[in-house]
Amino acid sequence: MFTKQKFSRRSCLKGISLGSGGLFFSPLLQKVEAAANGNVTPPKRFIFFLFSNGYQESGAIPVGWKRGADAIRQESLKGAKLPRDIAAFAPFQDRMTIVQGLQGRHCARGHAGHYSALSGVNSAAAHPPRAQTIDGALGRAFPGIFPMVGLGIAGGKPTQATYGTSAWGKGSPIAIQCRPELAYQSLFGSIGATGNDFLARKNLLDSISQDVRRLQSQIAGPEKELVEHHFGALEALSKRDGQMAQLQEAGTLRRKAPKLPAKPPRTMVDVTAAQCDVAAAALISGLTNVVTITSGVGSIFGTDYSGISPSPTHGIGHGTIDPKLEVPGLEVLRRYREHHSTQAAGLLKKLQETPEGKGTMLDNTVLVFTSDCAQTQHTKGDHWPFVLVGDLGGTLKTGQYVSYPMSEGGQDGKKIDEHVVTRTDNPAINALYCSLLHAAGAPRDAFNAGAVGAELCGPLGELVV
Amino acid sequence: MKRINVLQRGISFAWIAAAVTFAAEGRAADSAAERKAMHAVMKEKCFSCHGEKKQKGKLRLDTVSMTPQSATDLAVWRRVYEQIMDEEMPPEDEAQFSTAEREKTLAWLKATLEAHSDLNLTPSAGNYVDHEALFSGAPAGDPATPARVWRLAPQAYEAFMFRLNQELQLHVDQRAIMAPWAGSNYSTADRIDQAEIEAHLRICKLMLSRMMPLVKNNKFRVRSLHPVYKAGKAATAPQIRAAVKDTCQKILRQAPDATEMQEYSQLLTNDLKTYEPSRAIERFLTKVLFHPTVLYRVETPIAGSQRSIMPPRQLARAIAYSLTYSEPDEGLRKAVAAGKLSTKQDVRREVQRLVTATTPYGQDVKLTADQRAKLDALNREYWQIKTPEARKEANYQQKLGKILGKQAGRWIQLQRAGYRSTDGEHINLAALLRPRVMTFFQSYFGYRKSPFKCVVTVKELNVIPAGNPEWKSWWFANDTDRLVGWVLESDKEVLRTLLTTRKTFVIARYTGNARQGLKRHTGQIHEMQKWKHFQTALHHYEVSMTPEQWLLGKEEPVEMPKGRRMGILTHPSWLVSKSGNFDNDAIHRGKWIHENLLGGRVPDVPITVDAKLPDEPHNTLRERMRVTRAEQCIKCHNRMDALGLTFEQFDHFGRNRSAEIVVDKEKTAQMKKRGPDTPRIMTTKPFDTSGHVYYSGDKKLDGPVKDVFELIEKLAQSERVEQVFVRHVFRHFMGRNETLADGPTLVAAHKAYRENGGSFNALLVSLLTSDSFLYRNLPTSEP
Repeated sequence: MFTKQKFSRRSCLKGISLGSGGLFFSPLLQKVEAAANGNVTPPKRFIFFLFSNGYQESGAIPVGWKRGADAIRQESLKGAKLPRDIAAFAPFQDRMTIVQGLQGRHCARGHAGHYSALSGVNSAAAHPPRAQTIDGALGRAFPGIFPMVGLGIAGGKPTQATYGTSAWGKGSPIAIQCRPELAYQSLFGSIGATGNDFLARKNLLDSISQDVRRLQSQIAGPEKELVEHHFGALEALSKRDGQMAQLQEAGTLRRKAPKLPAKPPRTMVDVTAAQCDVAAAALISGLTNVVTITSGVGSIFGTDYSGISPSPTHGIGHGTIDPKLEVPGLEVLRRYREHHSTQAAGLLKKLQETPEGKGTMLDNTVLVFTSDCAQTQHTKGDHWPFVLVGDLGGTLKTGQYVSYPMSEGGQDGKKIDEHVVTRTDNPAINALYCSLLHAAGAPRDAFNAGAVGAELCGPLGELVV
Repeated sequence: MKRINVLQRGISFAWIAAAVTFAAEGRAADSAAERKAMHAVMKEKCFSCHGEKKQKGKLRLDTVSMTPQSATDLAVWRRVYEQIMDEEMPPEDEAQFSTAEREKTLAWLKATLEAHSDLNLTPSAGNYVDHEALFSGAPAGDPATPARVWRLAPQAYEAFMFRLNQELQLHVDQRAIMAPWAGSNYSTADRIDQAEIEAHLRICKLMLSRMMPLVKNNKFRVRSLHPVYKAGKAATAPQIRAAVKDTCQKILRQAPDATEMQEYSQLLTNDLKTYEPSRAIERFLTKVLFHPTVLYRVETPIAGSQRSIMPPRQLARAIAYSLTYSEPDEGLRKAVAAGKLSTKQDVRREVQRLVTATTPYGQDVKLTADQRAKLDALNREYWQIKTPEARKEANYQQKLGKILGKQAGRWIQLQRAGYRSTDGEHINLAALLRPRVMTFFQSYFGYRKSPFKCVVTVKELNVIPAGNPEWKSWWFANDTDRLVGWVLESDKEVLRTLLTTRKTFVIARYTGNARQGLKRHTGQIHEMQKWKHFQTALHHYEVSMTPEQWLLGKEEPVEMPKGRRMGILTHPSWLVSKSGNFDNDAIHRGKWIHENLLGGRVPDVPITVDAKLPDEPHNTLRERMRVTRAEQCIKCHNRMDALGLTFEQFDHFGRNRSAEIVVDKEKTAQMKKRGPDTPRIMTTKPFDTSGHVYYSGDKKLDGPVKDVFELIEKLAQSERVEQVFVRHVFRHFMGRNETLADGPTLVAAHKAYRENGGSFNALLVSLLTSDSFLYRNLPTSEP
């Protein structure tokens, strides 16, 4: 397991001076210095935590509360008891908003959400993404050295880098790294390296790009764009390595990087813990302001539940009884979500322990916790629960339960976990993402309106201050 | 700066999109004089900010061809049109167009975009090129493929790494050197991004970790690297040059050109001065492993030419990677070395060899008639033996040795490598020796892409016989693979046979490697599990077969009942690939036929449309598809629905049915009153298989059809369908869409196919020896 570390932003700056290689990196250091002194507004940070197989409604409402209502509900969470799925967020209850009643009928998929979940546009994994996802949008608006870090949980699978949930825009997927040790390498350099890995790699990439540059002059047709893209990728990696080299020289990465276990984690529970540690370190070191952690990378087949249950994920989602645990599948899913929320809460705690400005890093962060396929496998998208933790520097209303009009209903004539049904004129999940953009200071009138009207995709007054 | 309102802009953009999407036939005849005049206007108004000295907005216009040569050029002119139309350009503080200039410029741009819309070369846009114009035989320019790169397929990348692993004796676990990307069939489709570069770097690092100890100990196959390692900073220029040459030849299988020699030598020399020798050599080897040919097919005209046949090395790779996922075989390499791969005749010789090969290069076994007869007798005797123990006692190999003499060793090697089954040649040669041919049929028909079939729907429809725990779509996809291979082996009327045959294999033995197939099946007769798979398949196909027929003797296809199946479009694999989890997908079945057999076009679903059928499990699919009859939908849906609904006699598991199973709404509602968890009550409704062919482009095809059999018969007899098939073959093996200049290539290819009795080999040879395949060009300069 990763070693949990405590550190302050101020302590990270010890040994770094603007003169010792910091010049290249000075905007970030200056920002951090100033933030430590309370002089500058710290960056806003966003964590998206997706899990597969749906988010059953009973796991997203305080214990004993009734679901469904004809009108919008906004109630305080003070004193409420959180369900097991998200009980780990209890220490942050005053910064939490539970949102029920958003709909995703226009972008729901069968067994998995793929790009739909974070874009609000119907997209299947077999095809390139059809629109920008919210993490891509925020990554562009608030870039760090890494505009966005995508970390996948593919328990029991050999998956390394893959695509499936996040996109810069139409046809431009963002890679999700499912192996924590490889994510570590990308972010913090090789383990046990004695030299400055990043600078050496930067020099090598510069040399390699000469071949590609020569190729550019030889290519005529549409593939010229591919070569330019390749060259651009090499340049971007080289530039990033240059910036990382500065951090490496200053010892920042060494201090902030988590300690990797001797054997790379493989079970779902261990990979989740490792990726959350990597995410925390990436945020605290300022390498990025946007992290997406996606369990299953947008699909129920993208991960198993090793460490909790050996049963196939598909059957679990249908409620099949786990023969080893002797509990129904939906109980296994509850434990799966419980594990994720516990790890996410650990990540938030690290941010809370890191002073920034007059408070902590958590003050300027929001975590979005939801499933990539609404409330259940085989979803029609008629209800999509969300949990938000963090008020993003006071720009989001928190400590509340918000519910848009819903009625009790069933699916195919069966009640599945007291399934509720939203009205067709309820806000879409796009509206929640638009609200985040507004709260972050990068407002849009609507987020990816198209399949549903713009009026269902605009910012929500119940969420934004 | 004036701005037109959003509506006007939207309309103008939509107009452009429509004009580009539904292109007119042929090209507009804009004259050289018109282009020259337009160039002069652009020079005056645009090039000062978007030319050689300045590229504002990172846009340079003076180098973009006035006659668009590519989709990139087209995109640039489209953007220019929008900017001028919106009065965004020229900027307010710069010289403006006069009214006449603006009108003339917009008119020219509009005509150019229309005339060159066939350059919209995204894979889904291939059918936009006018079919009649293509097959008219009228010349439309010199056919060639633009100079390009094409990212290697993952199989090709892995084959390269496995080859290095083996030849250099690195002993790397092959699972660690899997390609960091998936594949596609279009050269424009796949890019190398940061994630891919990082993954390739990791693989290089792994390979280097095995190479460097060998270099240090002078055991590395690139012998000349050890002296450089030993010498370090003191390495001489000749030593370094020798190391560079040797490394490139061993790793890349090509000598470095002058620029590469200089660059690599320079890198190694400088690094030896900066780093420890092992680090310097690692960096050099990494650079070699990042050579563009490791990641791409690189295809350009001969240096200094505007248009020429590819240079021999590139040509060898293009031929090899068109048919296989391997680097050029020994035969191609020998031809290049001997200077015998530069003319069309040379190419024809090599392509013919590869297309008809039954063994890898140089491994042929030639049998006399007597040897053949004795081998057949031995095999017949061998296949009567039922148990593995008895087979071992029969001492097959000793008897084989006596019959084949000196060739026995090679014969056994071929069997072990999977190119021969024990009883001869009853294997899927296409899959083994020409895998890209198999890939073509798999991607063309799409039968390997199956949606996940949920256990709920499997149980509800009693898909599997009692006691069998599972149903898998890939069983049937494997059978279709084997059928395709079998049809290709005979190479007669390939398309027509695939569309109309009632033959099928049942849980086929030899879908790929013969040895693996044999091993799997000889054990299976004793395993009840696999026997149950076989029973499920028999049930699906409605054929009967004994286990002995299934496992022993020559593998032959069986015939499905007449009136129940016809061709690949009624195979379970194809039907399942165009279905959902709970029902048929008549729309996509129809879309496939419209696009892949009729050469038609169906625009993408508009993003504003929520394209879902109503959730009405009590209605038939045809009843639920009433929503596509709406006025705003019907024009596109008529091209699809009326074709796809003819398949309604099959369910979404690809089984024949006598009626469509739907929910009995009333009885289910009554049951629900007793308790919410009671199951649904099902009933049946009759299905309707009538359909219609609209907008085929062939009057003989258009019109009503009563069922799928009548539809398929018409399609199989149609010359247009054959021509559309040829177009798709072209796209797969060229890695791009056809342009009007490729018309003569397509005409010749179809002629070769038809005149050789529907021979796919003849079609391939024609395409791979055409100018469209052989020639690469660079754009001409303005105007």
